[in-house]
Amino acid sequence: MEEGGVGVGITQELVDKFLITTRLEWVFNWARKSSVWPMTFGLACCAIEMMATGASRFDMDRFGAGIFRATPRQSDLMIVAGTVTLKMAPVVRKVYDQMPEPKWVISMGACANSGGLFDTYSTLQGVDKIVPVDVYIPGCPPRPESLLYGFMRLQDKIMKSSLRDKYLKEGINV
Amino acid sequence: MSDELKKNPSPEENKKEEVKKPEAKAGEAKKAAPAAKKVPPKPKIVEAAKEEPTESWQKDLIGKLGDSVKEAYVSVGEFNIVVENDENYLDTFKKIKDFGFDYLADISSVDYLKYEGVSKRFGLSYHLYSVSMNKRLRVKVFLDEEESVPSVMEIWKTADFHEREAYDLMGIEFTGRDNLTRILLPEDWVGHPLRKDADKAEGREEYTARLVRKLREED
Repeated sequence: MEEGGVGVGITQELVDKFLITTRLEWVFNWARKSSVWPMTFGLACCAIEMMATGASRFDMDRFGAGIFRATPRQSDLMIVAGTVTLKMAPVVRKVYDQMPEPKWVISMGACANSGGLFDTYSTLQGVDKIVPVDVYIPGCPPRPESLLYGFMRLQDKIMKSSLRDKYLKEGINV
Repeated sequence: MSDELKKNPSPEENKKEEVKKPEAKAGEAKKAAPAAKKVPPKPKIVEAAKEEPTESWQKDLIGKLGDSVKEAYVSVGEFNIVVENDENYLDTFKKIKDFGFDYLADISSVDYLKYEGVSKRFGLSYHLYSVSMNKRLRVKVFLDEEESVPSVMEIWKTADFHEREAYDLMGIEFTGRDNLTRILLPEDWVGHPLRKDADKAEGREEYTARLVRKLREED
């Protein structure tokens, strides 16, 4: 044991050079925001822009979100990309329910936000009527840059989230 | 090169300024428009010029159908027959099929509610095709509200889905067949949304509210 060491085998030099101290919550959030796996789930033309965002020109993989999973069971993020018809609405909800916690929802484009130009008998007027939405992206359809910006705002939101949120949601006082 | 590049933008900028001026005028005109807003008049049915059927097969068909043909004409090159919803209705269709029209391509329904000078509210058009002759025929029938019409399912099996669609969206009843249920909309939908007096939001909001309630109960 050296003189001036803080513990067994751990020298001051080691502490200065290699160890970082932080909050566990921050590490959790950082890990979550850096590997948000979206679900392969497109409903209309917005899905084309979503595919472009995932492809090499815009490359969502830079944000750790390029792994589009083919099942909700392995997904963290649902990008509602397109017009939600009333017949599709229960399916959207079912797929959302199948995702494990923690999960997030991006409402992409005018149709998913508010029904958009489809003020018709068959279209759901906003996906937020059936699932909780974290980020709304305007546009018809939004360009890939918009989706990336929206995704970065979601990352900001994830970084601000706290482990307390879950307990508060369930009504447990901490 | 750099000189050319410098020269190029200037004419474009001039053009932009030129374009902006008429736009401003158009904007003023648009602002003035709502003040003079009028209730639009009821649209009139604009029909293309009707010609006498000239081809021999058309005359043959009209001759075979006899009195059940109320009107027969060629419009924009398409042969149309108007029949009435009476006791000879199915018989007429059987004769048409025996003539060679073996394929029912579509049944379309029309709501003439907001049109002027129409005696009956609904219209049905049967779009037929003959594979052997390579000819097309349209059979029209006009219906009052609450008037039902015999199903042609026993003549063309494919009428099943077409009739269910007309029933689903327009609320036209077809008799003499079973399983006349909704085909496009959910089974528990209320109303027929393509009717001109249907409120597009009414059925939608009712269904959305029911759906949200159901999802909350599942939670």
